Amino acid sequence: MKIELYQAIIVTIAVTFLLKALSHFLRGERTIKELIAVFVFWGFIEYIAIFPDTLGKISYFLGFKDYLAAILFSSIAIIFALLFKILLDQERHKQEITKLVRELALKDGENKDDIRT
Amino acid sequence: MTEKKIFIILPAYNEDKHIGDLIAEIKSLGYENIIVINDGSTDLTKLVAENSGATVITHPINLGAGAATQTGLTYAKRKKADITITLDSDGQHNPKDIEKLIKEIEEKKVDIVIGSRFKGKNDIPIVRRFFNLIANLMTFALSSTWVSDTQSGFKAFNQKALEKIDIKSTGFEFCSEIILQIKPNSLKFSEIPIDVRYSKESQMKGQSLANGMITAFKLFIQAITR
Repeated sequence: MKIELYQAIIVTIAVTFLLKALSHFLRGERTIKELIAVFVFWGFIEYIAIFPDTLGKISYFLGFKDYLAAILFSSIAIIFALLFKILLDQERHKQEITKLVRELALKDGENKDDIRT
Repeated sequence: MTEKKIFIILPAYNEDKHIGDLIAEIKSLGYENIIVINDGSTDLTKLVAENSGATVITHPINLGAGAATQTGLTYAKRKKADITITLDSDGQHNPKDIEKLIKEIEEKKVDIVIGSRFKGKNDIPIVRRFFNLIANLMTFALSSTWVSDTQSGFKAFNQKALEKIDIKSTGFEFCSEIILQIKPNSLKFSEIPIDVRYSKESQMKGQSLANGMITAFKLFIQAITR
């Protein structure tokens, strides 16, 4: 089987993301659900890169007339996945800031209590 | 009055018009441990609350009702409160109902009591009823727990509930998050009817379609990433 350059690039990117996710999971920074989601998503991209004909079958199954529509559809899916990742990261940062601000406020309140008593 | 250590938590954001009267009303009923969580207010909320005799914990920035409530619950937990009550600081809840919530915890031996606006005879605007129903259905779909007023901020928690409940949501979706945590933590809950006193300002809070959509989206994200 001949591997084109674009296929090698996509597979490398996908494997990098998969290893990164696995490392995050092993360090307890990712839940099993997140790990599965990452594996399903990048696994699918990798599979499509290695077996591009599958895209044609999926396009036919979904009713797309040509590859262009399928590529557009895939692009939207990738953008959605990236947006989702950004939202998750943003939510995580928000929670860290919230935790920090809450703890500072509680410490300040407890110090005031100590002064009063 | 019961001898238990009771803490009243008032999460507040720019409520200098109502907070003073509310604290005075609660004090007149004999409750001493009144904690105002000043959530980054830009008005005189902090000053008014302190002058009214409440303990004020201040978030340097505005985090949202959920974060303010969790700060209050954590404070009460560290002070080893027996029963902790949360209520809205805009004055929409009647402090006279606090006694009913405490009684329910003591007599029914439940961990959480939710004050329901829909179980009492209240004149609630139809729009608010509609949004509340949507929130109830959504919360039920995610938690399998039916509550008639999922968005009520008037609640009572015993020590066990204080230990178990950990609100991660910062905004108004925290009310649903508390309900989501009931079953997994094997907590018992009940609902009792409460009075509601809507002002023009309190009617404006959290009832838009946009707010509902944002809450729904946040609950969805939480459900799939938990």
